[in-house]
Amino acid sequence: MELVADDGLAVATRGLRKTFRGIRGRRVAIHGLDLDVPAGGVHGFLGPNGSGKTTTIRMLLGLLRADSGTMHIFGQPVPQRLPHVIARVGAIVESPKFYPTFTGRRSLSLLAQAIGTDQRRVGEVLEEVGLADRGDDRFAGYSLGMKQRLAIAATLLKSPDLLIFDEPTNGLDPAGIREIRETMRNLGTQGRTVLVSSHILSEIEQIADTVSIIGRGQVVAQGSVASLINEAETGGVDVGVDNPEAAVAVLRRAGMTADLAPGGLRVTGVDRPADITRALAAQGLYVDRLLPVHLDLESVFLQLTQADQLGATPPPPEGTPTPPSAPGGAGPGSPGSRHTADADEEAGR
Amino acid sequence: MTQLTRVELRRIFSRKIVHLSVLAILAVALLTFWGLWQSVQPQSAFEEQARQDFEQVHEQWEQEQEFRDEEFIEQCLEEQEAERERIGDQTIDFGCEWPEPTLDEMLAGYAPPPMADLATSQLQQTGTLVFFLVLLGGSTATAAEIAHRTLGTWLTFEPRRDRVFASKVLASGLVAIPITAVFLAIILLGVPLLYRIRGVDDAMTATQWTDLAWTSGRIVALAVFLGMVGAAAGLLLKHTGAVLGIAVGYLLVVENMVRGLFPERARYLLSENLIAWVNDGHQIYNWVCDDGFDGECREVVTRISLEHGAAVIGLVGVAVILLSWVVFRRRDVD
Repeated sequence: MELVADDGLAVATRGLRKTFRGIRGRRVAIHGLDLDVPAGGVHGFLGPNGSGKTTTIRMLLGLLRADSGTMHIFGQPVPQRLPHVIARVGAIVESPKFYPTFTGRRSLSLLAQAIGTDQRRVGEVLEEVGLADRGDDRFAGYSLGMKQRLAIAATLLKSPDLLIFDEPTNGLDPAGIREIRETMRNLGTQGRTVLVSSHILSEIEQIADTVSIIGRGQVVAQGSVASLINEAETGGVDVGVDNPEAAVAVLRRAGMTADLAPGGLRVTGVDRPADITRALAAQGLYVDRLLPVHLDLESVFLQLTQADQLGATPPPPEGTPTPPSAPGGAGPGSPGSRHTADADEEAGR
Repeated sequence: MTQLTRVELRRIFSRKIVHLSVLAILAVALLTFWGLWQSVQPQSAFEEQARQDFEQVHEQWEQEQEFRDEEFIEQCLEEQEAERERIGDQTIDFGCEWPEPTLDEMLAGYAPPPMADLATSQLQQTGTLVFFLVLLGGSTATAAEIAHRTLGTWLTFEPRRDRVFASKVLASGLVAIPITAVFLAIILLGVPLLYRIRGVDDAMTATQWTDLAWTSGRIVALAVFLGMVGAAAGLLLKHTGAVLGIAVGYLLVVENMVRGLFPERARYLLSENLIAWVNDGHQIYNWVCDDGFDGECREVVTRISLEHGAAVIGLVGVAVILLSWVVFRRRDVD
């Protein structure tokens, strides 16, 4: 089973663009998307509702036609070579969709027959997802969690190297969410690549090795969860001081970014917190509290996507977090590079 | 491709609407044979009915004789002659003379319909139901996939859209074969059986059986083709209701408009060509009048050959399938 492509990426897109045309006019859903999903492990595909996650996944799977740009799955250009690589890809796009009057077993049996998989595999995957005793019930009678599990079972019919889950925990109860989360985590640790789109960041933070954050159809950040958080935390410090207003003025004069915050002020853009205490002490202002701000993925996500929604494409941070390195070095498809759509367009890609 | 078609056939045969279609055919066949049971009566029943009718008619004749004396007849004939002269039509008949009815006359009026004629007419009439069902079945087989959004799931397993399209359209056509076979078996086996059960002595010649076989073959071929067209139309329009709406709208509006406004174009109407295909040729009768109220009207007979019917139905059907294929290749799927 070939799990890693030559460039170390399970999925790569460059300059991907999709416009929907309707009665109310045109709407650009994806605007020059450059996405890198490293092979192996769980990759979170994050973005607010309407940011283009599902559209991207649909394009990767050949369900939607891209206006322009390129897409690769395991190094194969899609949709041109999708038929050759689809056997390695299992996907659930949005909610699971099967015939309501068919039993779970029959639905899987038809899919297995379509791809030439042994019918015995149907029983096995039902067993794997815990639906063996409900396999002969109609799909319409399944709970949402069972439907989701059946969809996962369908993806497992292929023994795929890449699993794409689009909002897999939508509508599930806490137990169901936990179950799906463990399933994804297990699949990721088996060496498969799990691309999971979601806007529930606490879920992704718990299971993802790497993430991509998109807003308004563009990737605004991507890399490992830890590096994204560390990067966002750089220079973020909560400061307690007797006279916050004066302190803000002093720090701004010293070239730092300081704003009033509950209980004091927050300073960003400083490499060393000692610079803060030195600058304030020099003006007779003494710090009684100095705490580095610990962000979680949600905070990072909100920072990035809100900045994006305000119309400012966040500049590529220095020391950009990168996905796990892969053979082949840097370049347009390399995991070590981070692109914005604008940068790509300027580069004439 | 063959594998995909097999899967599609399995999927379609698992659908309730297919089971319901077969049940609908059985129900209609039951009703049809109930009607045929009445018309195909044994000779003894005919004779008994004829005797009863004769007695009624004769009784009425006897009552009429009380006032139908010579004077009445003479006056009646005079009035008849006067009317003939006034109108200038010597065929006018007032029925002044009513000869005594006989039992032989009544018996001569009763006879079961010839088995071959009955079988042929039943094939042609109830064949329409089969055509409707396979068109409906074909369109719902594909449109339901779009409605349930299972087509997207399917395409994540087999993304080659040409193959997917071909397998779905072909399978919808193939499904029509057993459904139509059930219908044909009911008619072709049921009619002779009915004659036997009712004790009516009739049989079909080899030539008649051959004609019925050809008609059956054409019905099967058309059913397969309509199943394919229905599936293509379902993929094109995305809703079974839309397919049926357009079909019914065409039959009610377009065909009636063409018949009324451009009767000479009626030879291109789908329903007329469909009949021509099934019946091995067809004639359309139209009244064409000269301009103005006083213009003379004359009946114009338009003959549509089997080949013409096949060409028109085939061209329209192939056009629908091709259009659907082109759209399906490029369409975004939910």
